[in-house]
Amino acid sequence: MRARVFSNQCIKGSYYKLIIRPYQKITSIPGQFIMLRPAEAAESGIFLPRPFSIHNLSENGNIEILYKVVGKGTGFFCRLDNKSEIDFLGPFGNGFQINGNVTSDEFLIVAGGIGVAPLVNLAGLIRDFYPGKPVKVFLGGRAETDLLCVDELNKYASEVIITTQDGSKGVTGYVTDGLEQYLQKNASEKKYSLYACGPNPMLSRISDIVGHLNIDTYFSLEATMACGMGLCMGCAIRKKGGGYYLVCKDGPVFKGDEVDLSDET
Amino acid sequence: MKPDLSIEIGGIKLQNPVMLASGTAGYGEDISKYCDLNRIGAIIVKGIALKSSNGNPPPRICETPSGMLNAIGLPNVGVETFINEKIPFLRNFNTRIIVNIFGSTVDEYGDVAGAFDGVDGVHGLEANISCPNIKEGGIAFGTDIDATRRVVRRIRKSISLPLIIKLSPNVTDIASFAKVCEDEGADAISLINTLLGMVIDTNTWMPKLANITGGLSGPAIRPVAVRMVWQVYNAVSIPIIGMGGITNSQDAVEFLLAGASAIAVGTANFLNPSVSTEIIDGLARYMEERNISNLSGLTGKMQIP
Repeated sequence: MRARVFSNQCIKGSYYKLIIRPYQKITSIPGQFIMLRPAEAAESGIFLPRPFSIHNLSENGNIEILYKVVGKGTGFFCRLDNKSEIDFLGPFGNGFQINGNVTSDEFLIVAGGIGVAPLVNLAGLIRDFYPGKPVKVFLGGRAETDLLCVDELNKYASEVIITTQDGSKGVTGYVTDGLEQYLQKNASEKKYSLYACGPNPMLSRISDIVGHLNIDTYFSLEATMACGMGLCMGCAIRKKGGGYYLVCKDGPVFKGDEVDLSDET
Repeated sequence: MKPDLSIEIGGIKLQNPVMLASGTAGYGEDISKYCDLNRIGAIIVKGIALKSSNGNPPPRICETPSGMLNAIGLPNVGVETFINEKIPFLRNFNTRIIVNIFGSTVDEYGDVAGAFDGVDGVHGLEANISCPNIKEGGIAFGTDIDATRRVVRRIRKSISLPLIIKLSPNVTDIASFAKVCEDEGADAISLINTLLGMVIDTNTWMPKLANITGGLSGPAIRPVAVRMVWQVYNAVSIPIIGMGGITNSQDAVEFLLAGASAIAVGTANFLNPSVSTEIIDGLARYMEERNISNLSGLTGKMQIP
């Protein structure tokens, strides 16, 4: 499907917000993703589409993408302007299933770097479904420049706990350190649901932390993929007990105890 | 006048010459949400072996100039589950179902092929003797002329279904392999499978695929594929299914002119899952504009000055 680039702005350091306006409206839930590809793919040198989680779908149909410029693909996307067009497919994937049937006392959201992209609207959705229940967000990055969406998260969350590895903002350390300390103090008292998105080593560490606790844990994973819809079978992630899931169609959101991230440290 | 796109490939009657290549359309379920399978000539389903397998560890794919490298490793549900659970879905569509098979021994090829003889809804088999990504089987047969002969002979004895052999481009003289397949009773040849390749990350100094090497596909390999179709066309009289980097109807025409009777769309499905129907429409327009009434007006019609 074709979309017009509405805006594409650097929001901080190497992080950008791309807003595209599809010629046909789509619907999606937090955690779903789209595959983006330059409209003039042959000239761009970008052959495969790239998966991006939908940060926000606005009422007028605009799709908002948060991304970090890391390589050839994002290096191309960051040069798009509002005269550009772009091709996309999707939304794909299961997304976070928030349906009112959760009995948890408290919700924990863990976001590492650009992993915050799908989690802001997740926080909003949780607040809508469970007004009054605490939503604690653990937001971390290498440095202050890697912390995105702090103001938006503060709107939805009961508390936003910030960590940076270099100590330039919040508590010094990994985002998972803050989570671990919090659970050590409080874990036995309440029933939690935990949602996380970030680098695989972060998710692997969360698996270790919650391993012996009775916490419903959900990870939104990232993987290299060619199609986003189960055709290429490129985006394999180890299944607990053997075999593989496809991140694109079995996920990208998995229950924490379904996937084996032990090699992802 | 509307051109007639129908074609018969080794006894399989197709409404048009555009197929979905094995390994790029799964067992049809996922792609059917985005591509009208009733319109395509045939779907060649992802490779099936006697027993199910999980495939290779990730990373399995990476982008390359005008293409991609993959080492998926032929994950599959096994022949029994495929027949019981996957074929009923495929039978719902007005298309032809060609089952891609592989094995790790000559007898295994024969056994998995034999399991499909007489199965309702299966119109033909494509034997993969050319996958570069699994240790046993696959390319070990497709790059050895005697092994090719033995495996084609064994499959031929096991089935009365139309038999297509998918050849590896990773050989010096592909025409000699095609000739052996024809001599042993194959009904058609499909080519090319992926080209063996490798990509190294210059930051980590590690291969980009866990399998180290993988199969190269996409427009990058198209000229190699067109050349090989032409070489095989000049060597055998059985029909050829041409594939390798086809992304639009012009590419499809190129393969037909080189000698293909039908074509398959592979990697392009990943970028646009309905591209095969666009290729069908584009091919019909191309023929109509040039007053070509049927595909015999294109196949092998390259003009050499």
